[in-house]
Amino acid sequence: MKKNIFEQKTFIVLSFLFFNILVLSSNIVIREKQTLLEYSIGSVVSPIQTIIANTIDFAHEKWENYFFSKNIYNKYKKSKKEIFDLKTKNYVLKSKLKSLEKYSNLINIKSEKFRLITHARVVYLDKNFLYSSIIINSGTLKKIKKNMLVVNENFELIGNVTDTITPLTAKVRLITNKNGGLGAYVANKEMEGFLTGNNNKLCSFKYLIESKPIKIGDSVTTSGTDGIFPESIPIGKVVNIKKGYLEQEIDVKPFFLNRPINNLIIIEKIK
Amino acid sequence: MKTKIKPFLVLILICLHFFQNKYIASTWFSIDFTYLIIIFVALKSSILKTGFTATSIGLMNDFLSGGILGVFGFSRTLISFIVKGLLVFIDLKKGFYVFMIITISLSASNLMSNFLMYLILDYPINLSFVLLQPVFTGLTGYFILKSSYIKKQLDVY
Repeated sequence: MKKNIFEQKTFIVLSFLFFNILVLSSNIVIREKQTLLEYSIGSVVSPIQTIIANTIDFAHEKWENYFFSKNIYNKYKKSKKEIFDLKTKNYVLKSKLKSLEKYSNLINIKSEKFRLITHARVVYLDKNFLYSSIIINSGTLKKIKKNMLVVNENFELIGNVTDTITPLTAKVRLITNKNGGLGAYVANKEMEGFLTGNNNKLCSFKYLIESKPIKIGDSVTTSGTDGIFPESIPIGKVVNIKKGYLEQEIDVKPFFLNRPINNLIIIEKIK
Repeated sequence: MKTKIKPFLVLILICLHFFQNKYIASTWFSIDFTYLIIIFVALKSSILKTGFTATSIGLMNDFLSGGILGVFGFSRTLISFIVKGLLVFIDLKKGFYVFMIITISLSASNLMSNFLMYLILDYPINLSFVLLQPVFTGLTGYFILKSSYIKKQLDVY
């Protein structure tokens, strides 16, 4: 009898461990492609996340409303939203103008490089893996798709939407994540390279030609050559240069790390 | 006598976990409330329930952390079975032992997960994740288990 119970327990323990090893090893191979298991977990977890985040935001709003005079607080909220919407439109119009100026002698040109999809807020950010990914409160219900771009209020690049999208939430891979990468220009298109994350607060360009002059403080923008990110979206500033014999390595600190990530804009590159 | 963990305790711990990660800005201070759920289930439930809870919570943590699915699932499940085996020998009335078992087991689980993330995704080893989070979680578990109501629910006397 005792032997039976021991065998039964051993079987249960080994089954659970085997299942987890199976999931782990299959996901090492698949990496970022979404599996049915991940989608199922997301579909269960994301409603809870969204409800909790919305409840706390609602309570926080009501709490602030209690201390502010009601009319003043509502006016402030309305003006803030208007400013945010105007900033968005302003940036879209500026980029349209830039393209029209540059290609004014061409006909049938596409003046818009990207299209605004929706606004979003961060629902979850794992503090133990800060530079990996975030979860936002927009999913397939708000027409979010893979590879859509995420920028902050100042149109500084944060990352792109990965495969893990549920109806209510989506996972955004940050540009500081080592698994990603993007084409970028340094210092007003002096040099182009492939910018990768390092799972910390800095991104880097590797294997750049040493002879090109780059200095600390130069700005880095997207080049658009990777086919995912449109051109001229600000990324960060050069903070460190390591010169080798024939090549140099440049460290870039992303702009989005200078401010809290809260209000986000989801945009899509127009092909 | 088998006791059931009240669902509201589980819900409160999950809410606290999401609240903490969204609204508390500090990077060195964090408490793994979901791990406390595993410990409370391991205290008095069967091995099947312990394994199922640890796997589910581990997979949820995998989804939220943005890493590879299965890393936390494996480490939490393995540690939960070890903890379940050890709990038989520990006097749960003494708060110090409760604190030590939570801290050491979570530290081991986090170290295992972080090491797997380092091997697979080249993530750096995060000392606050491996050392500080278990200490804060252990203290939280100790204070929760000090409550006579929780002790009654978990049949820990």
